[in-house]
Amino acid sequence: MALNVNVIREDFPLIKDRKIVYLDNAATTQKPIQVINAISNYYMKFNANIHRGLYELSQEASKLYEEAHGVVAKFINAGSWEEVVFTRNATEGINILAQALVNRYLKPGDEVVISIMEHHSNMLPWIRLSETYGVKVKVVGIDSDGLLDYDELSNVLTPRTKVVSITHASNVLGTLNDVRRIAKLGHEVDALVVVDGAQSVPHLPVNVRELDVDFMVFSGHKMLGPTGIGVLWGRKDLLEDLPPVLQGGDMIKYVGIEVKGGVLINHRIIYNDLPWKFEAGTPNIAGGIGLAEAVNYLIRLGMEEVRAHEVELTRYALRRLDETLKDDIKILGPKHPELRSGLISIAFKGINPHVVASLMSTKNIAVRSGYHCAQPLHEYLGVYDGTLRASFYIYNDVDDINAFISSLEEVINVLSK
Amino acid sequence: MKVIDLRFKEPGCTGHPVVRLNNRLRELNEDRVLIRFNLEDIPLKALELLIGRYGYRVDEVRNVNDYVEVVAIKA
Repeated sequence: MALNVNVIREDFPLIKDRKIVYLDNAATTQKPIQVINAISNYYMKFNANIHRGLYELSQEASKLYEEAHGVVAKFINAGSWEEVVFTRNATEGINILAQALVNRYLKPGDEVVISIMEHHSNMLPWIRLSETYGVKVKVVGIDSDGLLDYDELSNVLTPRTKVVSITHASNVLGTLNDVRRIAKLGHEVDALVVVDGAQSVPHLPVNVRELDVDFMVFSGHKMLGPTGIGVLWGRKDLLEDLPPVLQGGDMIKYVGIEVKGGVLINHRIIYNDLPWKFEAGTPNIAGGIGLAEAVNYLIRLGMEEVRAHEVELTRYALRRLDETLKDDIKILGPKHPELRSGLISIAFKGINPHVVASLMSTKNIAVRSGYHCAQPLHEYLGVYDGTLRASFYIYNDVDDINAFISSLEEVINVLSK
Repeated sequence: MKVIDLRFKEPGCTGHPVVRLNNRLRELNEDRVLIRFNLEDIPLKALELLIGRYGYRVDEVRNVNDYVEVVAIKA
């Protein structure tokens, strides 16, 4: 294993103190003490509103928050820190983007292309545009291995396609999509390419410029950071051109209004520079600082090593599951660990995954059951009861996988009697 | 005696009877509870194990038409 899990675990108070096999990392990750301390340190030593106070404390808080954007920008190789907009999470990032795009670029009849493997977060904002603005949403399917159907993607693109918005890594199948290929296809019809990086940025090296995409979103809490902080990254020229979606404090340079007889008759607004134009109101300052600390933690480990670690865990888990339970379960997604992220979703024959997960929780094994916010994908696959998902991260090892599989065997035996 | 009726499935990720059972038991503070459910949703053995997590055990099982009633008591 490339990572020293025993050393890493020392940094995670919850993992150390609770006897838990935590395999729900695709939902949220645990937090290292460095992140917890960074947040606590901010509140104890630097808490002030940013960009508003001339006093030293406010300036220090502003500096920390601005530097956090820079840390994230470097992590994904953004063109500049101004391209990094902090949001609440990936979901909010896509919603802001969808609303901004519809205000600037989309007309009724224009097309947005997504895939069937999308999380609801990368599906519902576009469906909403179809309801409210007459935008047409096209949905690309997958093949029997759970890989995106690139031929279908190529065929559905037309001159009316304005946006291609596809996940980098499926949160159910684990499938890693070839984002460069998707970007090339999308750009051939002059569409903007949006990537949901919620399940990839925490787990593998991501270089937005090398991928040649236009926008990417991800969540802090899935990559060791706190909840309530996420990222919308976009190419600077595009972000500059897009209108802000949320209006309020800190996102403007100037507001002037003309009132006659108590009625507003004119106004002039000059929006703030990037990224503040998209960060209306007092942001989650502590969250941004915590996210930067989480990113620094991952940088210290090395994202190549994080990826290698998860590939090995996935390879081991797939092999053990095949050896022990192949007649009782169906594993969704690609068979080869190199083609997938570090998660495994399992469908059962005649057993409900919620019952399985509940029984496993009695053994302190934390896994997820249900549709994982990807209900259309489960229906597409004919898996109507949902799946059981185990998702791995830097503090998991083969002992966790062994405990998971032993417990799964035990539960299946109990329920099959 | 409190009744937890799990015979009807609700849509979505949190609508499955086993999710609702967990949610209800977590907030309950009763010595005796009557649980109504379908065996195809929660096998009896699974129910025994699940309620055990919240300090209950099965005191009585009744087959009623097409569903099951369990009287659970604090162990």
